[in-house]
Amino acid sequence: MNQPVVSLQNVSKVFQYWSDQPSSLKTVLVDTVRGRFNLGGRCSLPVLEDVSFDIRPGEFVGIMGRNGCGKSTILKIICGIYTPTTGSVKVKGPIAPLLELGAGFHSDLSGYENIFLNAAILGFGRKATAEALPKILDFSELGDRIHMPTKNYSSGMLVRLGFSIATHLAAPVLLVDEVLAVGDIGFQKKCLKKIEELHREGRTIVLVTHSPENVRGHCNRCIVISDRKKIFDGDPVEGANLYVSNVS
Amino acid sequence: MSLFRPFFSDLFARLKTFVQTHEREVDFFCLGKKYLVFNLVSRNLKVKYRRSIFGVLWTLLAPVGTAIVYYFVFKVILAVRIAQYPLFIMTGVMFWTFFAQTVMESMESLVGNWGLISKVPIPLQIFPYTGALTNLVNLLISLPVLVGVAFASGVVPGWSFLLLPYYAFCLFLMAYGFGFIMAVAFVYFRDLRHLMGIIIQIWFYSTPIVYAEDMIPEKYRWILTLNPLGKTFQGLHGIVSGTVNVADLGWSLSWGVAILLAAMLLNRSLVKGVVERI
Repeated sequence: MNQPVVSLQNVSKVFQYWSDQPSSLKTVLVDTVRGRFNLGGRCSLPVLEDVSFDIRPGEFVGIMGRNGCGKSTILKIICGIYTPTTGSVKVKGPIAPLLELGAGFHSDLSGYENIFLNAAILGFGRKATAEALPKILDFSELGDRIHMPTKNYSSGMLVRLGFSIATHLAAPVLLVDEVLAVGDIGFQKKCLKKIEELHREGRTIVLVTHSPENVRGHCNRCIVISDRKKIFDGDPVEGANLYVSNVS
Repeated sequence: MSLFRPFFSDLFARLKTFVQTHEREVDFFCLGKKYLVFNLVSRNLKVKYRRSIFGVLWTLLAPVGTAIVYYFVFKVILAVRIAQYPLFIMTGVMFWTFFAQTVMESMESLVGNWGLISKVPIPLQIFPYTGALTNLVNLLISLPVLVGVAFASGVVPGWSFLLLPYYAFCLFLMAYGFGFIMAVAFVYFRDLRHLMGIIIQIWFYSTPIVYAEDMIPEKYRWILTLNPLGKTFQGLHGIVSGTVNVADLGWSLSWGVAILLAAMLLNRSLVKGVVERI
């Protein structure tokens, strides 16, 4: 019964983009008529190379690496937002992702309405959301500002609301990208305590962080990504040390 | 006889595996995210109607206004020979507005919702789907207006009027399928907005909306067959004059299903790169 809840096998990701983007039909047709059938200068940007790992239920994984090494892409591939260019990814069950500030929010809606929208996107019905609602409101400490449109929220308010929603809905896997750094110290401590609590309940947590202390103190596994490849997967203390020496 | 059971249970098991592995394509009606669909559609409707009777009247303003203009031009000035023209033109304009508006709105729906699509896992088809559903609800709510126009012009609506929702549904399938295809194309070609404006205009006049299908000269009848909306509007005209043509019913549904299948195939192959391209 120890089936991995997330499984990446030889995942590589290459982004294609067109410099001199011909994002109009007119440009393509005109170029074709001129004899230069060309969809623009095609550039490839390799972002991940042959990354494989399995995450078992109940693990608390810390993913570390420099900016731009591919950590967020890995999370987005796990969530299903991107598909790998080669390799496969298998995920069992619903995931609660928290990938960017205000992800899943519609900026014209109030925070309150966005709770329902976000929960619906994650796959939770009205009853489940209504049950979790008081806890979400309480944890976020937003009070009356919950009825303001989210386009007027500060980054700290956005992360408070987003984190509350992601952690209080009963998804077995929680994926958090680096957004926690935006909250104040009090909120960061509160978040870590909440994550610890969820971990003890048996939920699987994947946390992308730049903080070695968090990894050493809380995670039970550390994966270090460097330059598109996975260079370490194992003990959190060793991993955090490797990250620090890699970066400095 | 005893051989049939294992055959069917095996077939059923295979079908189940197929559905599970191809969840994304099969769930073209977003059945796995019912609450999200409900949330998005009810929000759209609230914006459209603003909880007031004036909101309802306002959304009817455009089709009614257009119908009045067409009546004046085609019946009063050009004296086209069609009986019951007010009811005829009102039906055509309402159903056409549903189709054209859905396609144009759906086209921009993926790019317009880039913020959601690139940051949370969400099935792409939900945007054109909820757009089409909102407009369908709008159309169904406006159907009593047609009955009102019928009475006002001295026509007693027959049982054929009950088929109006059926044609609305066929048109919904076409609008959703076509809207989805355009939405994906728009991600790659942003000037489609202008092109679609022209295409919609041409399409309007190539469909029997302001004129009756028997007024088309024989040598141009093929336009009617090739046009997916042709038979649907032909059927609508039949309803208005009290006749029901089963062939029209069949053709409408077939076109709807065909366009939807094309959209589903597209979903399966080309949609993967869309998120990165937006």
